[in-house]
Amino acid sequence: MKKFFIFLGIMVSCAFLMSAPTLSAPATNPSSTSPASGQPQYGGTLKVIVTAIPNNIGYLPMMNADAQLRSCMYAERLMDVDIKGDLVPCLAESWKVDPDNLTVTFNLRKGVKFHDGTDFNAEAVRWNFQELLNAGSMPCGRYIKSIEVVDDYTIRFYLKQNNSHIVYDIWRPWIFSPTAFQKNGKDWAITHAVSTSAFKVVEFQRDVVIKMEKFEGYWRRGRPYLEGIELRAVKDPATCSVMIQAGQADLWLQATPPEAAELRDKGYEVRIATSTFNNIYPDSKNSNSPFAKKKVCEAVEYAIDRPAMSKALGYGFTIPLNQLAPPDTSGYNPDFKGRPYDPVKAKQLLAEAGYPDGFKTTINLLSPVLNLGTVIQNYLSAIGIDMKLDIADPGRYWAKQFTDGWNGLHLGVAAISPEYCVAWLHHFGRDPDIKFASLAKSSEFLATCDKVMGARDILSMRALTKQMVTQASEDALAIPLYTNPAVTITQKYVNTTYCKDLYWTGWRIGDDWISKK
Amino acid sequence: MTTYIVRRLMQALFVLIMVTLVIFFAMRLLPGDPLVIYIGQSQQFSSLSEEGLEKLRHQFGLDKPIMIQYANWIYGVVRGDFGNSIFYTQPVGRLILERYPVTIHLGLLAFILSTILGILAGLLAAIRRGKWADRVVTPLTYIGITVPIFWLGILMIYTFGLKLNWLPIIGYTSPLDDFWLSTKQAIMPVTCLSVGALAATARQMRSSMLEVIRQDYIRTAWSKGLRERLIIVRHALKNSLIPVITVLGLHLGWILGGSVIIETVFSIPGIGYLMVTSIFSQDYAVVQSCTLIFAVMIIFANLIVDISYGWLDPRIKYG
Repeated sequence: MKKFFIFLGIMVSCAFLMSAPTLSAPATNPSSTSPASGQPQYGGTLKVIVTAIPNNIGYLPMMNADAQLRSCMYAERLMDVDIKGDLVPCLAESWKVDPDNLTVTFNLRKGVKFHDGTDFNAEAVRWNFQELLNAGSMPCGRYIKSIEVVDDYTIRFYLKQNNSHIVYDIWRPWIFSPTAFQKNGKDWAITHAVSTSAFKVVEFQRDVVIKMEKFEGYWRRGRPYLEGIELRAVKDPATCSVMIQAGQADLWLQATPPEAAELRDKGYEVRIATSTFNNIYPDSKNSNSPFAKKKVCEAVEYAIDRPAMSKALGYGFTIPLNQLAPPDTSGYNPDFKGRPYDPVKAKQLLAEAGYPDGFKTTINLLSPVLNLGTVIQNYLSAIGIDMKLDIADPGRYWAKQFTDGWNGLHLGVAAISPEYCVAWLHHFGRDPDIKFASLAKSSEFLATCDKVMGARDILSMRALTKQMVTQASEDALAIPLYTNPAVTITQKYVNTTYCKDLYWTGWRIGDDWISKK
Repeated sequence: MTTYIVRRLMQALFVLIMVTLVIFFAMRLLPGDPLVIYIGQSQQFSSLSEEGLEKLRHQFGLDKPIMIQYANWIYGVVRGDFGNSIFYTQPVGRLILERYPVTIHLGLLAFILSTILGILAGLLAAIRRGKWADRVVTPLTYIGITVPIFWLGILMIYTFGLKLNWLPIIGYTSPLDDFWLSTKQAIMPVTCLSVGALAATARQMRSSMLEVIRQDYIRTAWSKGLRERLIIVRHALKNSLIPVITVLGLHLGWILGGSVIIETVFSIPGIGYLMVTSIFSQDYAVVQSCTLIFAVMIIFANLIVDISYGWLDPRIKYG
């Protein structure tokens, strides 16, 4: 019996040691690898990790926002947005907005092929947008009257009314091959992305990996540099961090701030883009609520030290806000001072509003922002507002925001688009897509929204956007807190254009390369 | 025996019906519309109109009365149609077929490993009671039962994936595609899944073996001069396995539950991973179907456990 157990122990140890051979590259220390520099090099597969990969990679009408974000790796649009927020050509060489005739005309690039060998042309573009309109999921689709194929490489959108930023809504959809869809059907299209991009999808395993190979017929000659890309889902941030350190991943998209800060401190390259920003939304529509009074909302804003909060919770990646637009956006007004931290003033405003002893209220929030909610709770407690945290599951949270309404405060986010007014109007405009059921808007603010919508050129639109956001900030429509970052971690041997050339929702991935190790 | 099995199957059917009722209505009692969650979680650029929302609601049958939804679901399950996932926009049956073999593969490995090693460890600790083997195995079983498996998973990733770089950190490969890669990828998750069950099995085995080896017939066997291996294997082992077999049925549920955490930590595309995503998205069809499948597996495992008593102990007869 004793010999049996000894034998068993030896067998187990041998089995363990046999599994020891290195599977992948040795653990990397960023300082020990040479940084990418010099001329681009051909070859290599870029291993990208992200917390979730899309479930739908090729059928646009049913794509959610996460799927649309990832599509930048295997699909292209009519235009790109550069890092300054300006539209630049991609599949469309040029475009013309005619506010008098309510048309937008695109001249398309010639000689572009889809991955299935069929031609990219105006009919393909028309089909893509028509699918979105039919499904009711086209951004600002209600402003589009019809789409006309003028010739093989010219397409025209006819509008029902002037919309100053319609081009930025037409920018958003990705273009896929109608031939592939018509041949194979919707279910096939959901798991197959047939587009014009530098990389074509060769393998898709739901919740696991999307593998891409370079497309030999890509319209940009000499691109891509990489042989392929692997986009892998890794749900746990700690696991992602270890994979980067072990060299088993080259790039981590949308890294979580705590892990990203740790990797930054270890010398890994970090890129930061601003994706959304956190706000507190009061139930100002409820006439019985204290937050129906502007002074109470102002008091809440004065009570919170946003720079300190951003420093404590943001790991150095967030920017505190004094208005409802981050710096470097067209909505930001450098002359607007906002309501800086001043608890004495906050108490004074509460007293003037008829709450000298404060009051009780609730804030709805999701569990990932519990720390933020707790900090806000402490700040408000200092001025006499006894705020209870209501940590809602996603179902209840979104129902309160979109349909049922909330009582008290609602801790949420607002998206940022390259042209600031676009996301803004989607959230807070007169006819928003993203609804806030309990949020009241002043007539002055709505009037500025109408002006923005009716602007006749980009420059006047941006000037009016600034006025619109300033008006909302003066109204205390919501209490701004700080920005949310989209943090990307890369290995030093990766030369990526991500967040360099284009706005962070785009990626000229054909220009990326890996230096030989 | 046949009568007993038929009776147990009838009871199982009743339990399954109760499970379907509980899970169906529990999901629908949760506040919030799953379609609103689907849009809300993607609110950055989502622009689904009211009309689009209504179309989706009709497509997924969410506009029908709740009892009709339940009846439709049950009717579909009987025909093998588990409905369509809102989040994945795929038939649930297809999703489960993709994920199920992965969870079964790892779960079965963990189950076999924990059973064999647990029995051997408990056996060793019992027959060497008070000696060094017992003093090593017993504290290890305490640790095994108490250690949180997600913590163990991260610790293993850090040690074997990062520091030693012996094993791949994440992923799953079918053993039919690449056996060695599959084995390397399975080592850490299977170890984490099996630790708790192994420790519990070892403790139970030690306890029941200690009771059996004190019996008179074992003393008689020693007195007759039989070898230790013969006494343990032929006379003591089978009798001490009865309580252990009982807990094995419970361990299956333990391992399936653990798969939810381990598949998330190691990014393994199994049923557990699917469940986590679906629960947060309130994807009714997927959660209902996965729960039903887990219930079926546990019921049948316990049925097999009960039947095996008769084989282990001929004195047990089923009517």
